[in-house]
Amino acid sequence: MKHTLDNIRNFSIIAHIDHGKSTLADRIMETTGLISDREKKDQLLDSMDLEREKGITIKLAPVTMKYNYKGKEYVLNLIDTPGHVDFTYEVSRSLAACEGAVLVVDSTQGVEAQTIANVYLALENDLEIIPVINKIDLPSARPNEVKKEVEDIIGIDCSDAPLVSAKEGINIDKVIEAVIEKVPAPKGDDKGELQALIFDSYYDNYKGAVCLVRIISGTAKAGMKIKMAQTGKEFEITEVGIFTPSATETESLKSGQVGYISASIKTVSDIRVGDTIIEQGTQTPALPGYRQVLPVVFSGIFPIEGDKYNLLKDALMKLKLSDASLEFTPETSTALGYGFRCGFLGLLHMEVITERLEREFNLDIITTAPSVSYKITKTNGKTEIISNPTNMPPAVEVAKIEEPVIKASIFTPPEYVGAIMDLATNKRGEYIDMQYLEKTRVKMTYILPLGEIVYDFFDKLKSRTHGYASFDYELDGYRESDMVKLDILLNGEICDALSILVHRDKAYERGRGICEKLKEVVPRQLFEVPIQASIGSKIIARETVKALRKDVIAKCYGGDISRKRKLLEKQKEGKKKMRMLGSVELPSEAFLTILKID
Amino acid sequence: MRKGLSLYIHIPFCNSKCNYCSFTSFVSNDEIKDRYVSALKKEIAIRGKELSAQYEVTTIYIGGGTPSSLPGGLIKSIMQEVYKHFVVINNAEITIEVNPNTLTKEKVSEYMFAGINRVSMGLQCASKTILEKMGRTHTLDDFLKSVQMLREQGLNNISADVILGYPEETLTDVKLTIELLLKLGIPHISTYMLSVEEGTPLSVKLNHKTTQLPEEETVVSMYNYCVDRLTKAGFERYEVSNFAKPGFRSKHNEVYWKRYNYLGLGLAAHSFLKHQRFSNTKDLPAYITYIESNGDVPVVEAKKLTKEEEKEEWIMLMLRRSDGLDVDAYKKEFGENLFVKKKNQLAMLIKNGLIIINTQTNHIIATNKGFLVLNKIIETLV
Repeated sequence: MKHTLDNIRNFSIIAHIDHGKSTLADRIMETTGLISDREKKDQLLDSMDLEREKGITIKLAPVTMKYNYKGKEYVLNLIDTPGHVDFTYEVSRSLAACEGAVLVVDSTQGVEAQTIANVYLALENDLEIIPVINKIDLPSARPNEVKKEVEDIIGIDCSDAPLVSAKEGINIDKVIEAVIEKVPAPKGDDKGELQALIFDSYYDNYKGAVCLVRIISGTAKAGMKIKMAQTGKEFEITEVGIFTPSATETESLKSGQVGYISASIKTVSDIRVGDTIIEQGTQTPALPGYRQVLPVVFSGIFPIEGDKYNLLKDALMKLKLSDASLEFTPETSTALGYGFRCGFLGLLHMEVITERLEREFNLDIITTAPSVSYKITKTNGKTEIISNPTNMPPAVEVAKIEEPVIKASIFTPPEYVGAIMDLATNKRGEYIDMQYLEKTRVKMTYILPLGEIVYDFFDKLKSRTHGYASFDYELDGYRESDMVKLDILLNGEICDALSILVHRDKAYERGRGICEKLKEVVPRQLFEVPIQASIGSKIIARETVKALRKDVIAKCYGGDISRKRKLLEKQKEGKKKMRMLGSVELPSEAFLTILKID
Repeated sequence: MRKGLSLYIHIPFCNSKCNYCSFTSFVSNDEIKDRYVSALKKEIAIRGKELSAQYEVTTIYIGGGTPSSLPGGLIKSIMQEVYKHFVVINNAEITIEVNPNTLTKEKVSEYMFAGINRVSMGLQCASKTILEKMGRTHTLDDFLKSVQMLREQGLNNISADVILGYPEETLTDVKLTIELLLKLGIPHISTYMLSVEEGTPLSVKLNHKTTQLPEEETVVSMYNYCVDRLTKAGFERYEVSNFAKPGFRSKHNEVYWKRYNYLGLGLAAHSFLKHQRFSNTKDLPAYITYIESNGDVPVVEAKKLTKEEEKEEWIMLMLRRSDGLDVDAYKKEFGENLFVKKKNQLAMLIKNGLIIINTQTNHIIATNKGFLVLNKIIETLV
């Protein structure tokens, strides 16, 4: 195939959740003949069950399609993007691989927070934005109003925006033609030095870790010796190819093309999203925009049955093969035994990982309360970063604690401004700014402690605004804060897995909440169990679980010991799922329950 | 010399089914009862042939169901079959379970003729209202008459069952029941806490919340009342739920707890023989036809106990007794010293007043407080 650039179009689809991004992608693939109705599952791009279930895209999967337009064959590379703030960096790298973006706006919903956030990302990457008004088949569709909204809020001309229904397959060809007409062809030189942007990676059982790339300049082919510009790691290319939509080997990948490079790379941790692949021996500069992704939410993960530790370890290692942003280190808890301290990009990421551990690896796990990392300055002048409350040095050694904060942009209809201010204040938020984007939409900006966000901010925001508000955030460094370590004592002994770092003003409320909740889930023991919350040696809350007074004194009838045996077996089975916290037996579920305090 | 063996004979018939009962029993016609008894007699013959050379029978317990609901003459014929095929020692304890409204003078004579010397009657409660709620068909008067009938013919070894904690049953009901039994001079009393079994009318009602169980503290006070009052009256709580005047302990019950050999005969009957537990089918027609056509016993569950299971049973059963668990005997049997192996658990139980250790005899004994949470104690120690 003769390689020309002017018939290539690299584009993404961006949208707010549920505005129909994945469905539109499916229809585009159908229209270009890439997949037939028969072979498609709904929303082909979301390849993981979990993604399909949650209706969100986590994993990016680029596809290469062909389309004849005005007597010319075009190569269309569609790069899907994840739709959640946890993955903002990944989205930005995917967009960096494109020249254009299709902006899907739901004609019944209008512009939403994420629509705007994604548009900003696209504009930062100099992409041509093609607005598409979706769901015009619905009775509540108001395409003209929504068009105006897009023009007013985002400032993009919508006069010839295609009006489509991805669900019904209406006007899909108009979208494709708009892409061909408006998205610029990639620039670059396939004879130049290799410069390939890594926008994602995945793990293949046979090929190992595979890079998803956009060739910015030069040509990649099998046998070429390559180097990762940022990490300096070196490999030899074993295969290059494109997605049609399954991975299909090609002779080479040339500038402007989107595809994969495999190079016997053992784990995806060796591949950094945003890094640049260059040829060994050249001094080609790395592409701008690279950032090392760091976990921001931390949580302990423990097997419910202690002997499953090794299985958990294997499972985490397997997940790590395909998820470079997952971090874990061994952790020991006196309460929960051996497990791992895991770092995630955000709460959704954490939820996805824990669900995959349970579903794909059949593990019963306990997840401790999510926390963030704190910067501790000790009285001796040393500083350390602590992501596990258990590792907090004694209060006397601590000079200063700083907590990570975020800059949150909250988009809401004006009637909820009061409720949101109230919530933000309650969450120790610092007001920065409020802007009326239009009559019906306000953008509020706050600096908020990340620790409050990982706790229950999402849920509270949703419930206080009946789901109308949405928000986006970026990390904004560390701020000094009056944090204290809140310990929970069962029968006088500290239960390390339940310790949390909390702002002093919230400590009483949280302590009381945890004690009350524990009282509900701690089964009665053969003795009275006091449940206490303490800061240092000061008890701030207390509940009591009364001793078990009786169980059933039953007949041992007709020598039927089997009834007694069954009862005992049942008791023993139940006991297996119990954790001994000092002298107190606690069901594993108790930990999960405690996480859900409001 | 022959080894001791106890027999349990199951009569799976009742005139009506109580609301809380999940035991294997049916309301059947006389023809079925006849066929059942002949099958049962065949089983007695088969087992007798197998075992009578090595074993002699020390106790027999005819339970149910309601054995006294069998038409006249059948109990006698069953016992005759036992005597024909087994060696039964002199003074063997032979108990029959009786429902107060099924007893007649004729039946009492029949039982005595058959060698039966102990009667266990399900009174359950002296309150008419509670009896009705339980679905018991007898009255307090039936019970009083039955006691009188038994005594008239010289059968004085009588036991009465009392249920604690039935919905709407009060502490006063229990007090009145116990006082009545004391006044009557009944020498053996069993007090069971109601255990709600799935699928019974009672559990359905509880699930639908049309009735509710008494408060935990109420049931605790019922049990404590029984212990205090009966002890004061000269009874001994020799097992968690059994009280006896001196000389009136049930030897048969002790066989179960001490893990001696026993053979269950009849539908769904359980046996423990040579370290093996097994039981007969629960399916009445299958039981009858299998024995009729195969001349063999329809054993459905047989299990040779593992060492671990033996240990568990030992702990579970021995702790039910007021004599407690003999740590030396346990060590002799299993080569393990519980004082060492369960040191922390024992310390916790002692600290909380749930057990005591008799250091003279090396027995672990549950306290009154401990008996109330015996299942949990057992769970802690196994």
